Amino acid sequence: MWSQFAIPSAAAALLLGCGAGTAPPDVSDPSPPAEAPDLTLHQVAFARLSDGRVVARGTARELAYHRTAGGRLDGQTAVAALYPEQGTGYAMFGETLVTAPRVEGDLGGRRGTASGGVNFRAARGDHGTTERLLWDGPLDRLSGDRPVEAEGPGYRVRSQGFSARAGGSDVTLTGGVVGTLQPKSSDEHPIPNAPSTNRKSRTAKRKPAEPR
Amino acid sequence: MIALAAALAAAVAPPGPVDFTAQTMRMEPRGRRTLLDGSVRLSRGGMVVTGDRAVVEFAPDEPLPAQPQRKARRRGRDEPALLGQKLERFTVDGNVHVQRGDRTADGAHGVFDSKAQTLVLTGDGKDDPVLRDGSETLRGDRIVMRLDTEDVDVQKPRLVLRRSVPEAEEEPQLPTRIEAARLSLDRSERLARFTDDVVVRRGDVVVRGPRMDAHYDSSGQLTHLYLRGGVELRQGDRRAVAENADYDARTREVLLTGEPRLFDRGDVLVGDKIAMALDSHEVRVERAHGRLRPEVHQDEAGAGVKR
Repeated sequence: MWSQFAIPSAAAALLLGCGAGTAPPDVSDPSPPAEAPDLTLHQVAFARLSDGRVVARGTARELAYHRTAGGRLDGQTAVAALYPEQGTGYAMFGETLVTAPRVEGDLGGRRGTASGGVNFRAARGDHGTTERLLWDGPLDRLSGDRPVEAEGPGYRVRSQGFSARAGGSDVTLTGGVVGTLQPKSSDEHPIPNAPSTNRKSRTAKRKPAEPR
Repeated sequence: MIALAAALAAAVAPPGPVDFTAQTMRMEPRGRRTLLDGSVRLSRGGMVVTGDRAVVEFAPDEPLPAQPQRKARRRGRDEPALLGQKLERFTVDGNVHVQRGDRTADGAHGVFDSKAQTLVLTGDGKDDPVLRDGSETLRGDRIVMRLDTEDVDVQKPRLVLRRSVPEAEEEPQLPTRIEAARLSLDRSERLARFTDDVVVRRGDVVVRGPRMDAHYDSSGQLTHLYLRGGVELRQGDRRAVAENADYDARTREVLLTGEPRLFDRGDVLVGDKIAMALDSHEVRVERAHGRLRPEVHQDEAGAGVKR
């Protein structure tokens, strides 16, 4: 579920931090192919700041900028670490690592898509996956129309889609939901194969490369 | 009725996770709750609860022992909760149906409390919740099903015991109806304890008392009813009062003890014990004394008083 917010945020961070609003450099080829990007960056590292605080940082193997149609970014193999603010709906997850093979962003429309198998893993022990998710900046919403699976300490859920406010004030799983919840009084019977409830998982401690 | 309780024995829901399905699941972290909507199904152990919608409430995070007190206070009711907190209770609304072993229950509203280990069923003000086991039906204002045992508490129970008394085949089936302010089913003792304003009706017999214990055999058949604390029995024109009344389901006879007195169309009988056969209307009184007016019984046949 966190990934549903995280990847678009990462995409937005990628989009906002790597070219939006800046003029692309002149290119030597006067007639590039129609689909050729105006700028391609390799081994990109980024950080996104909000109120002087790093809220996301990560890397992308490749980031292509297309100046046409208001500006578009295509990213490959994006990895982002997100640090949700206290008091938000996602705060309990802690630092969360999100990966996506492909990220696309419409800079003018403030919309983005992460696809190819989006995964997240949070410090609390949550992890999940979905094939694709969409971010709609003007509506401040995240959504997905592909199966979603997530599990964490005391729960496991699976649905056919989702819709959420980007800030996490509400998250709705749609299209039929199946899951498991752990009652309070039965600590001695954890969900089989449920992840550890350690606040910091070893995997989630891995951080992406420092921005350069 | 104890078949109700007997059926529970094999169906005690073990502790463990709650599985669920629904059409949609809306999580509200600030409200620390999750809403399930559309064909909701919750299952835990041998118990399945279905309904139109449900609200899942999460328990507050427990502070870590090693955490300083200042940090511990930060976690709790005020912290948003999405998932990952332990389920505290869920509330199911709309056509609530419970299946647990051979027993089913229906109501308009159900609350599963994981801390109290109870499932409470209530009605919608028009229809009462109902508990069924085979041909027996138990209604009441509020049905509290224990999840860790087979016990059931019922407020203002209205119970029909259809198989409690073995009827002769040629005789009509007379259900025994019981009302009380409260009923507790204790399966381990094979006991159903009715308290406060107990009323038992079977055919033309009405018995009232403050409390009654119903005992059952291993097959769930009623064996005895024990009423204590002052009992009044009415059957047609007859009325009897005593401190205690014991009903034997096998003989279908009521034994009154504790200064029993029988009033029958002007007759007054007092004895150490008064036994009344419900089918034959025959009455036996031990060490009887009293006032008889035979002339008012000239129209009676087939029933009598033996002393």
